[in-house]
Amino acid sequence: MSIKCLDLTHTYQIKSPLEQEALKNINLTLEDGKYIAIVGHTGSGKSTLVEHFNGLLFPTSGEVHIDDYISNNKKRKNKKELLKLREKVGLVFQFPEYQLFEETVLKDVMFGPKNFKVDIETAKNRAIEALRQVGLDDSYFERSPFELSGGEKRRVAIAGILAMEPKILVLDEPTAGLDPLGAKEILNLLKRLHESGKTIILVTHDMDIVLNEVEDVVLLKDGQLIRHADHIKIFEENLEDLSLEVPVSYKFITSLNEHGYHLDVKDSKDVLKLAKSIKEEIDSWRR
Amino acid sequence: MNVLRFEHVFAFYEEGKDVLRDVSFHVDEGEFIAIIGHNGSGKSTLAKLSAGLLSPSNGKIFIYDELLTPKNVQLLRKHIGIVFQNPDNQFIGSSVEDDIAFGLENQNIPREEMVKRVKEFATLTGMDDFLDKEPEHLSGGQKQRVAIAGVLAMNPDILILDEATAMLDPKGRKEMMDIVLHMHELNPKLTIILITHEIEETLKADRIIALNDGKVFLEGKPKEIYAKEDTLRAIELDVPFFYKMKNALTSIGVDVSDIEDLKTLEEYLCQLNA
Repeated sequence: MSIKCLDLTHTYQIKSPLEQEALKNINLTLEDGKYIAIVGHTGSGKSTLVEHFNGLLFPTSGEVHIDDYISNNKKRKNKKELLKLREKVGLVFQFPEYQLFEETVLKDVMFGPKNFKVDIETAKNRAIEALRQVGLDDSYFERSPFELSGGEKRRVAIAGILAMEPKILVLDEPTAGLDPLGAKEILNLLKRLHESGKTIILVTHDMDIVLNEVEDVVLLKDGQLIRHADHIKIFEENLEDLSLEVPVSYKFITSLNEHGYHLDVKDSKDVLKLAKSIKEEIDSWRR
Repeated sequence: MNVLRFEHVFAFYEEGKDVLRDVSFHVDEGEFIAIIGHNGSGKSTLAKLSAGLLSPSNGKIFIYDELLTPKNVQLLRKHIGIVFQNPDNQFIGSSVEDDIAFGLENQNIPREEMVKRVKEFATLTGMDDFLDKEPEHLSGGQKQRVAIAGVLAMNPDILILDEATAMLDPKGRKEMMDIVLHMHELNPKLTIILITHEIEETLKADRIIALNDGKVFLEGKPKEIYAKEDTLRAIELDVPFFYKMKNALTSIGVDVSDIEDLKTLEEYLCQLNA
């Protein structure tokens, strides 16, 4: 199931003095099964865009097609259809751990599926499965979510969405505010989920994630689509003008390549491999 | 002179669960110290102890060579300014101006002096055009700049940043770091304690203290700490790209031992193809 935006425009507080056009004529197709990053500066419209994907926001004009669901500006929404859409597309907000509320981890994760009229037993099984997926075993089930670490809380929150068994998982800044270890756990989890066939869409500022984790990138600026491309090609854009930080590894590699080296930016995480390529090149010049 | 010294400090929030265990270190006047470590390693506890917001269960803390006690904590706390992680939890005033002035008002600083200082530190942090703005009209990065302006306006001798950039976007992070480094240049006597997960921010530190599981795990200059890549990896702490590259090149016999930053390494490698 793909997501298609057709001339999608979203204006907040329309016809008021505070009117603000957050998205302008976005045309975009996100393919099934891809791992996609939505990237842009603060206020570029990233969150507004993804909130259209599960019917939290509706276009001011234009349309969004999510599988067979068509989202547009018609006033009356079919609640049943909307519920079906939200079952297919799970959205994890920024700092989702702020929304944990139940007494125990297991109960918290069961809350989602229970809202979709799943019986208790099924909800429980799904919650257990979701918690396993995020790497939290039985010993966590009866603990209070509030006594967990930041990274663990976030995984509980993601499990709450996974328990609804969405086909598309959308996450707004899933690694923000976590320590590197917590962030790595989340990224490993997303990689596993993607490999198991889920479409993963994440909103991020982190260009290291773009370089090393995802397949495709949607680049936004001031509510407009600048580019939708392969994750390496996106670095051809002038990212620093968009307040995005080009990873030091990428800058280093491209700078060396401008001076006669032939390094592959895809190796940016494998520093030893890069070092070996550098040495080979130096040795060949010396000969 | 040591502006801050920990001697065998232990601390807990809950009896029997020590979060700091036998921590000793010292910080000299004007030093820029970076403290790294996972969540739960005791970094923030160390910050709270230094600011007198928490008392050690055992051991001694000295500020300007004076033993910190419940009696003098109010007095010694004046040496210290601390900026926390969450920009929304630190904004007290109803406008930028009010917020920067808040601490000064508490110290009964005369109004003229106060107005002068608010203006001065708003300018230093690039917030002088926002003085009448309310917090809801500011980005997270702007709120953090206001927080740091408010702290700096109190003229602290020691500035502690407790993951103060963690919730900001890359631009906000860079702006904060630029302010801190600029302040340090203006006032070389200002001691900076930077608690961070962003290892690239630690490159300019004079010294790094790595905490693990409530204990000092490693301590030294960045080049000493990051040469021990395997030791850090063993507790899953990362190393900045420059040191990874330097260590990797060294391990396969490319001599770059004299090079101390990425730019120089880049230039050195590029000129080999002349």
